[in-house]
Amino acid sequence: MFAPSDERLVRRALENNKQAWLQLVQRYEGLVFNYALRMSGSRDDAMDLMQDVFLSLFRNLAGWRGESSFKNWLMKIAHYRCIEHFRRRKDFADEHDFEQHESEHDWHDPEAVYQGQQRTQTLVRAMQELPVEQRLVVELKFFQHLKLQEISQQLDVPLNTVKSRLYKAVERLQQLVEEV
Amino acid sequence: MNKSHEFENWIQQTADATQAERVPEWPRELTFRGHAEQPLRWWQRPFLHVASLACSALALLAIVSQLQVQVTEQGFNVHFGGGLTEQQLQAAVAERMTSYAAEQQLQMAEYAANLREDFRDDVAAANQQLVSYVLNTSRTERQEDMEDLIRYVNAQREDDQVYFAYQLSQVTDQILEPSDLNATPNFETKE
Repeated sequence: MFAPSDERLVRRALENNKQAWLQLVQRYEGLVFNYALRMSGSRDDAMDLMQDVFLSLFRNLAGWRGESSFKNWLMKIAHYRCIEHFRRRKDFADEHDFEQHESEHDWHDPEAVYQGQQRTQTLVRAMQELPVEQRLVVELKFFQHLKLQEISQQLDVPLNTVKSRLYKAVERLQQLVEEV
Repeated sequence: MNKSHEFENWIQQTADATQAERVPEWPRELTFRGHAEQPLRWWQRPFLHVASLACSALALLAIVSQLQVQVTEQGFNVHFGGGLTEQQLQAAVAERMTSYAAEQQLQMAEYAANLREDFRDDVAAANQQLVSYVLNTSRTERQEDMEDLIRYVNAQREDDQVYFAYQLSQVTDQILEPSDLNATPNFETKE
């Protein structure tokens, strides 16, 4: 049976069709959730971030004109929401330190996140030590297999900035992984 | 540099080997913020205000542009812009009156010609009827006169025949009776 295209599902969702929207969510929730999981290192944060992304996606659904693929557009929104999420959490953590500790504590039990994948646990844990902009570049480069030019377009930053962030991120990751 | 490249490869291999996590159950429905009401069909949509606005705009345009629509035999004419001046109106009326007068004159002349022709035909027919009546009447009268005359002549002749027969019988009797031989026969004629 042929699955309906993203365009068709979006159009029907815009016509107030709930089933079409849920189908669209189920199609991309794995991608967004795993992205959020790697970016946040916490299941709870990943869930919050995923819901935030899909809420934002629904609000802006009419704004998708089909210039880029739906997946790219979705991931662009996810990046913005992710950056926004970490900014909010940073502000909140400044006022309530115990929450930040709790979140970190959640991640320090990595088996709960990636069970049985030692290398992945090590890498993702090290990624949490990076600034969010560098973490984003690592995520896009290595997990989503984007080229540097595509990352530059996705994040709306100059190519040299992407290269710089990637270089610093890899250097820092290497230090962190070797320390383990 | 080489070590950094190796580490990049290690990151890539680790990323490729990462198993995707299964998404826990979550309230997906809450992300759907649908409209409460169903979208109306096109014939149910409230376009009355748009239609009334459009009609008003059209009416305003028609007034401002002094729109005139004239229905003619060939169809209809649509005019925009100002109407006729008084002078143009007078000229148009005069032209229309002239053409009307010429048309009326032509019709009257034609009517008079027809009338004369009809009268001539009527008089001719009446004369013909009168002549034929007179001829018929005089012929009948002459015939009757002639018949009366012939009847008179015939009657006279019959009287003469009766008289002559009587005379003849008297002569015959005188001849046949000898006693009266001396007697002088009386040959009186009847007047």
